[in-house]
Amino acid sequence: MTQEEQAKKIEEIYSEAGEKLKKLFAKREDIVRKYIKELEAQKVDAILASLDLSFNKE
Amino acid sequence: MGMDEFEKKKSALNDQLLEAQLTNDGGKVGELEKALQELEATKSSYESLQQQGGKISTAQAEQVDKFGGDTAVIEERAKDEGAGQEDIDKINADTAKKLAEITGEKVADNKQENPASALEDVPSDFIEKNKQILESETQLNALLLEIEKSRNELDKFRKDFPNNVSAGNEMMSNLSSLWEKRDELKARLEKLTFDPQKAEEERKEAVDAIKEELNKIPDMRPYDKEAEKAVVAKYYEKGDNFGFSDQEKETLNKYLNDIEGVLKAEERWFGGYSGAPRTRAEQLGNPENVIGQAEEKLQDVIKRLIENDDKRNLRMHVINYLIDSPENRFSLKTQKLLLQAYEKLDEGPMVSTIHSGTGEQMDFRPMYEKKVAALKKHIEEKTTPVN
Repeated sequence: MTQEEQAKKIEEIYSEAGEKLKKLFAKREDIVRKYIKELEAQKVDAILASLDLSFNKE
Repeated sequence: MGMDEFEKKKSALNDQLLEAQLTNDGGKVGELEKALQELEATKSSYESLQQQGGKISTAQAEQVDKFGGDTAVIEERAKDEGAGQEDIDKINADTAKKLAEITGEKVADNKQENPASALEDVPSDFIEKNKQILESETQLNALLLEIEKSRNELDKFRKDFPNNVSAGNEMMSNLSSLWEKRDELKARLEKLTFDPQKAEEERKEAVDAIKEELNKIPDMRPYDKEAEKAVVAKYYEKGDNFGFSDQEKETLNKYLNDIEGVLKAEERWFGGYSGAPRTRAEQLGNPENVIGQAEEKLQDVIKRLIENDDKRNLRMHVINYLIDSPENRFSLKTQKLLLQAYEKLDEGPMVSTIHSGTGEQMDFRPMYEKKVAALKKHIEEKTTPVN
Protein backbone atom coordinates (compact mmCIF):
# COMPACT_ATOMS: atom_id res chain seq x y z
CA MET A 1 0.00 0.00 0.00
CA THR A 2 1.41 3.38 -0.96
CA GLN A 3 1.62 6.26 1.48
CA GLU A 4 -1.26 7.97 -0.30
CA GLU A 5 -3.42 4.86 -0.17
CA GLN A 6 -2.62 4.50 3.51
CA ALA A 7 -3.55 8.11 4.13
CA LYS A 8 -6.81 7.62 2.28
CA LYS A 9 -7.57 4.48 4.28
CA ILE A 10 -6.78 6.25 7.55
CA GLU A 11 -9.10 9.05 6.58
CA GLU A 12 -11.87 6.55 5.88
CA ILE A 13 -11.38 4.90 9.26
CA TYR A 14 -11.51 8.22 11.10
CA SER A 15 -14.53 9.27 9.10
CA GLU A 16 -16.44 6.06 9.79
CA ALA A 17 -15.61 6.20 13.50
CA GLY A 18 -16.65 9.86 13.63
CA GLU A 19 -20.02 9.07 12.10
CA LYS A 20 -20.58 6.21 14.53
CA LEU A 21 -19.71 8.42 17.50
CA LYS A 22 -21.97 11.22 16.25
CA LYS A 23 -24.95 8.89 16.01
CA LEU A 24 -24.22 7.35 19.38
CA PHE A 25 -23.85 10.73 21.09
CA ALA A 26 -27.04 11.97 19.50
CA LYS A 27 -28.80 8.94 20.94
CA ARG A 28 -27.32 9.61 24.37
CA GLU A 29 -28.33 13.27 24.23
CA ASP A 30 -31.83 12.20 23.30
CA ILE A 31 -31.96 9.79 26.24
CA VAL A 32 -30.81 12.52 28.64
CA ARG A 33 -33.39 15.02 27.38
CA LYS A 34 -36.20 12.49 27.49
CA TYR A 35 -35.27 11.50 31.03
CA ILE A 36 -35.19 15.12 32.19
CA LYS A 37 -38.55 15.71 30.53
CA GLU A 38 -39.98 12.69 32.33
CA LEU A 39 -38.67 13.96 35.65
CA GLU A 40 -39.98 17.42 34.90
CA ALA A 41 -43.40 16.03 34.01
CA GLN A 42 -43.47 14.12 37.28
CA LYS A 43 -42.60 17.29 39.12
CA VAL A 44 -45.27 19.26 37.30
CA ASP A 45 -47.84 16.55 37.95
CA ALA A 46 -46.97 16.60 41.62
CA ILE A 47 -47.37 20.37 41.72
CA LEU A 48 -50.65 20.25 39.83
CA ALA A 49 -51.97 17.49 42.05
CA SER A 50 -51.01 19.53 45.05
CA LEU A 51 -52.72 22.61 43.59
CA ASP A 52 -55.88 20.65 43.01
CA LEU A 53 -55.81 19.54 46.58
CA SER A 54 -55.43 23.06 47.86
CA PHE A 55 -58.35 24.27 45.68
CA ASN A 56 -60.54 21.47 46.83
CA LYS A 57 -59.94 22.39 50.41
CA GLU A 58 -61.65 25.75 49.87
CA MET B 1 -3.09 4.74 16.32
CA GLY B 2 -1.62 7.34 18.62
CA MET B 3 -0.43 10.78 17.77
CA ASP B 4 3.08 9.64 16.86
CA GLU B 5 1.86 7.24 14.23
CA PHE B 6 -0.38 9.83 12.73
CA GLU B 7 2.46 12.33 12.68
CA LYS B 8 4.69 9.75 11.00
CA LYS B 9 2.10 9.23 8.29
CA LYS B 10 1.66 12.94 7.88
CA SER B 11 5.41 13.40 7.76
CA ALA B 12 5.75 10.75 5.03
CA LEU B 13 3.10 12.52 2.99
CA ASN B 14 4.88 15.81 3.57
CA ASP B 15 8.11 14.26 2.27
CA GLN B 16 6.31 13.17 -0.86
CA LEU B 17 4.83 16.63 -1.17
CA LEU B 18 8.28 18.18 -0.91
CA GLU B 19 9.62 15.78 -3.53
CA ALA B 20 6.74 16.59 -5.85
CA GLN B 21 7.36 20.29 -5.33
CA LEU B 22 11.07 19.85 -6.10
CA THR B 23 10.32 17.94 -9.29
CA ASN B 24 7.69 20.53 -10.26
CA ASP B 25 5.01 17.85 -10.43
CA GLY B 26 2.04 20.25 -10.11
CA GLY B 27 -0.65 17.56 -10.32
CA LYS B 28 0.96 15.49 -7.62
CA VAL B 29 1.47 18.52 -5.37
CA GLY B 30 -2.24 19.37 -5.56
CA GLU B 31 -3.29 15.80 -4.84
CA LEU B 32 -0.96 15.48 -1.86
CA GLU B 33 -1.94 18.83 -0.39
CA LYS B 34 -5.60 17.85 -0.66
CA ALA B 35 -4.92 14.43 0.88
CA LEU B 36 -3.09 16.04 3.81
CA GLN B 37 -5.85 18.56 4.44
CA GLU B 38 -8.57 15.92 4.34
CA LEU B 39 -6.63 13.61 6.60
CA GLU B 40 -6.06 16.35 9.13
CA ALA B 41 -9.68 17.52 9.03
CA THR B 42 -11.20 14.06 9.41
CA LYS B 43 -8.86 13.19 12.24
CA SER B 44 -9.64 16.45 14.05
CA SER B 45 -13.35 15.84 13.69
CA TYR B 46 -13.07 12.36 15.16
CA GLU B 47 -10.86 13.54 18.02
CA SER B 48 -13.26 16.35 18.75
CA LEU B 49 -16.04 13.82 19.17
CA GLN B 50 -13.82 11.66 21.33
CA GLN B 51 -13.23 14.66 23.55
CA GLN B 52 -16.96 15.30 23.82
CA GLY B 53 -17.36 11.71 24.95
CA GLY B 54 -21.20 11.82 24.99
CA LYS B 55 -21.10 12.93 28.59
CA ILE B 56 -24.08 14.42 30.38
CA SER B 57 -23.54 18.16 30.90
CA THR B 58 -23.11 19.61 34.37
CA ALA B 59 -26.35 21.59 34.03
CA GLN B 60 -28.24 18.51 32.91
CA ALA B 61 -26.80 16.47 35.79
CA GLU B 62 -27.90 19.23 38.17
CA GLN B 63 -31.39 19.16 36.72
CA VAL B 64 -31.63 15.42 37.11
CA ASP B 65 -30.47 15.78 40.69
CA LYS B 66 -32.91 18.59 41.53
CA PHE B 67 -35.82 16.71 40.02
CA GLY B 68 -34.93 13.76 42.22
CA GLY B 69 -33.63 11.58 39.38
CA ASP B 70 -30.50 9.54 39.04
CA THR B 71 -27.93 9.90 36.25
CA ALA B 72 -27.28 6.17 36.57
CA VAL B 73 -30.70 5.67 34.96
CA ILE B 74 -29.44 7.53 31.90
CA GLU B 75 -26.39 5.32 31.57
CA GLU B 76 -28.56 2.25 32.03
CA ARG B 77 -30.95 3.36 29.31
CA ALA B 78 -28.07 4.28 27.02
CA LYS B 79 -26.62 0.84 27.58
CA ASP B 80 -29.95 -0.77 26.69
CA GLU B 81 -30.08 1.22 23.47
CA GLY B 82 -26.51 0.40 22.44
CA ALA B 83 -25.21 3.85 23.35
CA GLY B 84 -23.49 3.10 26.66
CA GLN B 85 -19.93 3.89 27.68
CA GLU B 86 -18.93 0.38 26.65
CA ASP B 87 -20.24 1.05 23.15
CA ILE B 88 -18.22 4.27 22.96
CA ASP B 89 -15.10 2.44 24.13
CA LYS B 90 -15.71 -0.26 21.56
CA ILE B 91 -15.88 2.24 18.69
CA ASN B 92 -12.65 3.86 19.85
CA ALA B 93 -10.96 0.49 20.34
CA ASP B 94 -12.10 -0.75 16.91
CA THR B 95 -10.85 2.45 15.34
CA ALA B 96 -7.48 2.15 17.03
CA LYS B 97 -7.25 -1.46 15.90
CA LYS B 98 -8.07 -0.66 12.29
CA LEU B 99 -5.55 2.17 12.26
CA ALA B 100 -2.90 -0.11 13.73
CA GLU B 101 -3.58 -2.67 11.02
CA ILE B 102 -2.74 -0.03 8.44
CA THR B 103 0.62 0.68 10.05
CA GLY B 104 1.23 -2.86 11.26
CA GLU B 105 1.61 -1.80 14.87
CA LYS B 106 0.10 -3.32 17.99
CA VAL B 107 -2.49 -1.55 20.04
CA ALA B 108 -2.56 -1.51 23.81
CA ASP B 109 -5.76 -2.76 25.43
CA ASN B 110 -6.20 0.35 27.52
CA LYS B 111 -8.52 3.11 26.43
CA GLN B 112 -7.23 5.86 24.19
CA GLU B 113 -6.40 9.17 25.70
CA ASN B 114 -8.33 12.11 24.47
CA PRO B 115 -6.22 14.78 22.80
CA ALA B 116 -6.38 18.06 24.67
CA SER B 117 -6.53 20.22 21.58
CA ALA B 118 -9.85 18.89 20.37
CA LEU B 119 -12.08 21.59 21.90
CA GLU B 120 -10.52 24.14 19.57
CA ASP B 121 -12.15 22.33 16.67
CA VAL B 122 -15.71 22.71 17.97
CA PRO B 123 -17.50 25.41 15.93
CA SER B 124 -18.28 28.57 17.90
CA ASP B 125 -21.98 28.65 16.92
CA PHE B 126 -22.33 25.11 18.27
CA ILE B 127 -20.85 26.20 21.60
CA GLU B 128 -23.06 29.32 21.68
CA LYS B 129 -26.23 27.35 20.98
CA ASN B 130 -25.42 24.79 23.64
CA LYS B 131 -24.69 27.58 26.06
CA GLN B 132 -28.13 29.05 25.40
CA ILE B 133 -29.74 25.64 25.84
CA LEU B 134 -28.00 25.12 29.16
CA GLU B 135 -29.00 28.61 30.33
CA SER B 136 -32.62 28.01 29.37
CA GLU B 137 -32.64 24.62 31.06
CA THR B 138 -31.20 26.14 34.22
CA GLN B 139 -33.73 28.98 34.16
CA LEU B 140 -36.55 26.51 33.65
CA ASN B 141 -35.36 24.48 36.56
CA ALA B 142 -35.17 27.57 38.77
CA LEU B 143 -38.63 28.64 37.66
CA LEU B 144 -40.14 25.31 38.55
CA LEU B 145 -38.65 25.52 42.01
CA GLU B 146 -40.05 29.06 42.34
CA ILE B 147 -43.47 27.81 41.26
CA GLU B 148 -43.32 25.09 43.85
CA LYS B 149 -42.32 27.59 46.52
CA SER B 150 -45.11 30.02 45.54
CA ARG B 151 -47.63 27.23 45.53
CA ASN B 152 -46.60 26.23 49.07
CA GLU B 153 -46.88 29.84 50.21
CA LEU B 154 -50.31 30.15 48.66
CA ASP B 155 -51.42 26.92 50.27
CA LYS B 156 -50.22 28.10 53.67
CA PHE B 157 -51.76 31.55 53.24
CA ARG B 158 -55.15 30.10 52.38
CA LYS B 159 -54.98 27.88 55.39
CA ASP B 160 -53.90 30.68 57.76
CA PHE B 161 -56.14 33.40 56.31
CA PRO B 162 -59.13 31.67 54.73
CA ASN B 163 -61.16 34.90 54.67
CA ASN B 164 -58.59 37.03 52.87
CA VAL B 165 -59.77 36.10 49.39
CA SER B 166 -58.37 39.14 47.55
CA ALA B 167 -54.80 38.58 48.76
CA GLY B 168 -55.14 34.90 47.96
CA ASN B 169 -56.31 35.73 44.48
CA GLU B 170 -53.38 38.05 43.97
CA MET B 171 -50.98 35.30 44.98
CA MET B 172 -52.78 32.95 42.61
CA SER B 173 -52.40 35.51 39.84
CA ASN B 174 -48.66 35.69 40.51
CA LEU B 175 -48.49 31.94 40.39
CA SER B 176 -50.27 31.96 37.03
CA SER B 177 -47.72 34.44 35.71
CA LEU B 178 -44.96 32.08 36.71
CA TRP B 179 -46.68 29.27 34.81
CA GLU B 180 -46.90 31.51 31.76
CA LYS B 181 -43.20 32.27 32.05
CA ARG B 182 -42.54 28.59 32.25
CA ASP B 183 -44.51 27.96 29.06
CA GLU B 184 -42.58 30.69 27.26
CA LEU B 185 -39.28 29.29 28.44
CA LYS B 186 -40.24 25.78 27.44
CA ALA B 187 -41.20 26.99 23.98
CA ARG B 188 -37.84 28.76 23.67
CA LEU B 189 -36.00 25.66 24.78
CA GLU B 190 -37.87 23.48 22.33
CA LYS B 191 -36.99 25.91 19.55
CA LEU B 192 -33.33 25.83 20.55
CA THR B 193 -33.14 22.07 20.75
CA PHE B 194 -35.17 21.49 17.60
CA ASP B 195 -33.18 19.41 15.15
CA PRO B 196 -34.95 19.18 11.77
CA GLN B 197 -32.98 16.12 10.72
CA LYS B 198 -33.72 14.33 13.96
CA ALA B 199 -37.36 15.41 13.82
CA GLU B 200 -37.63 14.01 10.32
CA GLU B 201 -36.05 10.74 11.43
CA GLU B 202 -38.42 10.54 14.39
CA ARG B 203 -41.34 11.33 12.14
CA LYS B 204 -40.38 8.54 9.75
CA GLU B 205 -39.93 6.13 12.62
CA ALA B 206 -43.33 7.11 14.02
CA VAL B 207 -45.00 6.66 10.65
CA ASP B 208 -43.36 3.26 10.21
CA ALA B 209 -44.48 2.22 13.69
CA ILE B 210 -48.00 3.39 12.96
CA LYS B 211 -48.09 1.57 9.64
CA GLU B 212 -46.89 -1.57 11.37
CA GLU B 213 -49.69 -1.26 13.92
CA LEU B 214 -52.27 -0.60 11.28
CA ASN B 215 -51.11 -3.69 9.45
CA LYS B 216 -51.94 -5.70 12.55
CA ILE B 217 -55.63 -4.84 12.22
CA PRO B 218 -56.45 -7.71 9.85
CA ASP B 219 -55.19 -10.09 12.53
CA MET B 220 -57.77 -8.84 15.00
CA ARG B 221 -60.14 -11.77 14.62
CA PRO B 222 -62.91 -11.77 15.48
CA TYR B 223 -63.23 -8.07 14.82
CA ASP B 224 -62.52 -6.02 17.87
CA LYS B 225 -63.79 -2.59 17.11
CA GLU B 226 -62.52 -1.08 20.33
CA ALA B 227 -59.01 -2.29 19.51
CA GLU B 228 -59.32 -0.87 16.01
CA LYS B 229 -60.40 2.46 17.39
CA ALA B 230 -57.52 2.42 19.84
CA VAL B 231 -55.09 1.98 16.95
CA VAL B 232 -56.73 4.77 15.04
CA ALA B 233 -56.59 7.07 18.05
CA LYS B 234 -52.91 6.27 18.50
CA TYR B 235 -52.31 7.08 14.85
CA TYR B 236 -53.89 10.48 15.35
CA GLU B 237 -52.09 11.17 18.59
CA LYS B 238 -48.67 10.25 17.21
CA GLY B 239 -49.26 12.24 14.07
CA ASP B 240 -50.01 15.25 16.18
CA ASN B 241 -47.03 14.81 18.43
CA PHE B 242 -44.30 14.25 15.92
CA GLY B 243 -44.07 17.62 14.29
CA PHE B 244 -45.96 16.80 11.13
CA SER B 245 -46.39 19.63 8.68
CA ASP B 246 -49.82 21.24 8.19
CA GLN B 247 -50.18 19.38 4.91
CA GLU B 248 -49.32 16.06 6.59
CA LYS B 249 -51.69 16.79 9.44
CA GLU B 250 -54.44 17.49 6.95
CA THR B 251 -53.75 14.18 5.21
CA LEU B 252 -53.63 12.46 8.57
CA ASN B 253 -56.94 13.94 9.64
CA LYS B 254 -58.52 13.00 6.36
CA TYR B 255 -57.23 9.47 6.77
CA LEU B 256 -58.52 9.35 10.32
CA ASN B 257 -61.92 10.60 9.19
CA ASP B 258 -61.94 8.02 6.43
CA ILE B 259 -61.12 5.25 8.87
CA GLU B 260 -63.76 6.42 11.30
CA GLY B 261 -66.21 6.71 8.44
CA VAL B 262 -65.48 3.17 7.36
CA LEU B 263 -65.75 1.90 10.91
CA LYS B 264 -69.06 3.69 11.23
CA ALA B 265 -70.22 2.22 7.94
CA GLU B 266 -69.13 -1.21 9.13
CA GLU B 267 -71.01 -0.78 12.34
CA ARG B 268 -74.14 0.26 10.49
CA TRP B 269 -73.89 -2.33 7.79
CA PHE B 270 -72.76 -5.24 9.87
CA GLY B 271 -74.33 -4.12 13.12
CA GLY B 272 -77.89 -4.00 11.88
CA TYR B 273 -78.56 -0.26 11.94
CA SER B 274 -80.63 -0.48 8.79
CA GLY B 275 -81.96 -3.90 9.56
CA ALA B 276 -79.30 -5.83 7.62
CA PRO B 277 -78.82 -9.10 9.49
CA ARG B 278 -75.40 -10.18 10.61
CA THR B 279 -75.69 -13.17 8.31
CA ARG B 280 -75.50 -10.69 5.48
CA ALA B 281 -72.07 -9.68 6.69
CA GLU B 282 -71.06 -13.30 6.72
CA GLN B 283 -72.31 -13.69 3.17
CA LEU B 284 -70.07 -10.83 2.20
CA GLY B 285 -67.12 -12.62 3.68
CA ASN B 286 -64.59 -11.27 6.13
CA PRO B 287 -62.69 -8.36 4.62
CA GLU B 288 -58.95 -8.99 4.56
CA ASN B 289 -58.21 -5.51 5.74
CA VAL B 290 -60.83 -3.62 7.69
CA ILE B 291 -59.46 -0.25 6.76
CA GLY B 292 -60.12 0.52 3.14
CA GLN B 293 -61.44 -2.89 2.24
CA ALA B 294 -64.55 -2.38 4.32
CA GLU B 295 -65.38 0.53 2.09
CA GLU B 296 -64.59 -1.59 -0.96
CA LYS B 297 -67.11 -4.14 0.28
CA LEU B 298 -69.66 -1.39 0.64
CA GLN B 299 -68.93 -0.31 -2.93
CA ASP B 300 -69.43 -3.88 -4.13
CA VAL B 301 -72.77 -4.05 -2.38
CA ILE B 302 -73.97 -0.76 -3.87
CA LYS B 303 -72.79 -1.81 -7.35
CA ARG B 304 -74.52 -5.16 -7.09
CA LEU B 305 -77.80 -3.66 -5.89
CA ILE B 306 -77.71 -1.11 -8.73
CA GLU B 307 -76.92 -3.78 -11.31
CA ASN B 308 -79.71 -6.03 -9.98
CA ASP B 309 -82.08 -3.10 -9.91
CA ASP B 310 -82.74 -4.06 -6.30
CA LYS B 311 -84.49 -0.85 -5.36
CA ARG B 312 -85.94 -2.25 -2.20
CA ASN B 313 -82.55 -2.96 -0.65
CA LEU B 314 -81.06 0.20 -2.09
CA ARG B 315 -83.79 2.19 -0.39
CA MET B 316 -83.63 0.21 2.84
CA HIS B 317 -79.90 0.14 3.33
CA VAL B 318 -77.60 2.01 1.02
CA ILE B 319 -79.61 5.17 0.68
CA ASN B 320 -79.34 5.76 4.40
CA TYR B 321 -75.71 6.66 3.89
CA LEU B 322 -76.87 9.76 2.06
CA ILE B 323 -78.26 11.20 5.25
CA ASP B 324 -74.97 11.41 7.08
CA SER B 325 -73.02 13.69 4.74
CA PRO B 326 -71.09 11.01 2.82
CA GLU B 327 -68.88 13.70 1.30
CA ASN B 328 -67.17 13.94 4.68
CA ARG B 329 -66.79 10.23 5.30
CA PHE B 330 -66.29 8.25 2.13
CA SER B 331 -64.03 8.27 -0.88
CA LEU B 332 -65.17 9.96 -4.04
CA LYS B 333 -65.73 6.57 -5.64
CA THR B 334 -68.25 5.62 -2.95
CA GLN B 335 -69.85 9.06 -3.11
CA LYS B 336 -70.38 8.64 -6.88
CA LEU B 337 -71.92 5.22 -6.34
CA LEU B 338 -74.30 6.62 -3.74
CA LEU B 339 -75.32 9.26 -6.24
CA GLN B 340 -75.97 6.56 -8.84
CA ALA B 341 -78.03 4.68 -6.25
CA TYR B 342 -80.13 7.77 -5.59
CA GLU B 343 -80.68 8.33 -9.31
CA LYS B 344 -81.90 4.75 -9.54
CA LEU B 345 -84.40 5.37 -6.72
CA ASP B 346 -85.40 8.71 -8.12
CA GLU B 347 -87.27 6.82 -10.85
CA GLY B 348 -89.94 5.94 -8.31
CA PRO B 349 -91.56 7.69 -5.34
CA MET B 350 -89.24 8.23 -2.43
CA VAL B 351 -91.76 6.91 0.07
CA SER B 352 -90.32 4.04 1.93
CA THR B 353 -90.99 4.45 5.59
CA ILE B 354 -94.11 4.61 7.68
CA HIS B 355 -93.81 7.17 10.42
CA SER B 356 -93.70 5.23 13.64
CA GLY B 357 -95.60 7.81 15.68
CA THR B 358 -98.62 8.49 13.54
CA GLY B 359 -98.66 5.63 11.06
CA GLU B 360 -98.65 8.28 8.36
CA GLN B 361 -96.46 7.71 5.27
CA MET B 362 -93.63 10.24 4.97
CA ASP B 363 -92.13 11.50 1.73
CA PHE B 364 -88.39 11.81 2.26
CA ARG B 365 -87.73 13.27 -1.18
CA PRO B 366 -87.09 16.90 0.02
CA MET B 367 -84.59 15.74 2.61
CA TYR B 368 -82.73 13.46 0.19
CA GLU B 369 -82.73 16.07 -2.52
CA LYS B 370 -81.05 18.52 -0.20
CA LYS B 371 -78.40 15.94 0.69
CA VAL B 372 -77.90 14.88 -2.91
CA ALA B 373 -77.47 18.48 -4.04
CA ALA B 374 -74.68 18.94 -1.49
CA LEU B 375 -73.08 15.68 -2.57
CA LYS B 376 -73.26 16.56 -6.26
CA LYS B 377 -71.70 19.93 -5.62
CA HIS B 378 -68.90 18.33 -3.63
CA ILE B 379 -68.18 15.74 -6.33
CA GLU B 380 -68.17 18.40 -9.04
CA GLU B 381 -65.71 20.46 -7.05
CA LYS B 382 -63.41 17.56 -6.32
CA THR B 383 -63.26 15.45 -9.41
CA THR B 384 -64.05 14.71 -13.01
CA PRO B 385 -67.32 12.95 -13.91
CA VAL B 386 -67.97 9.30 -13.02
CA ASN B 387 -65.89 6.83 -15.02
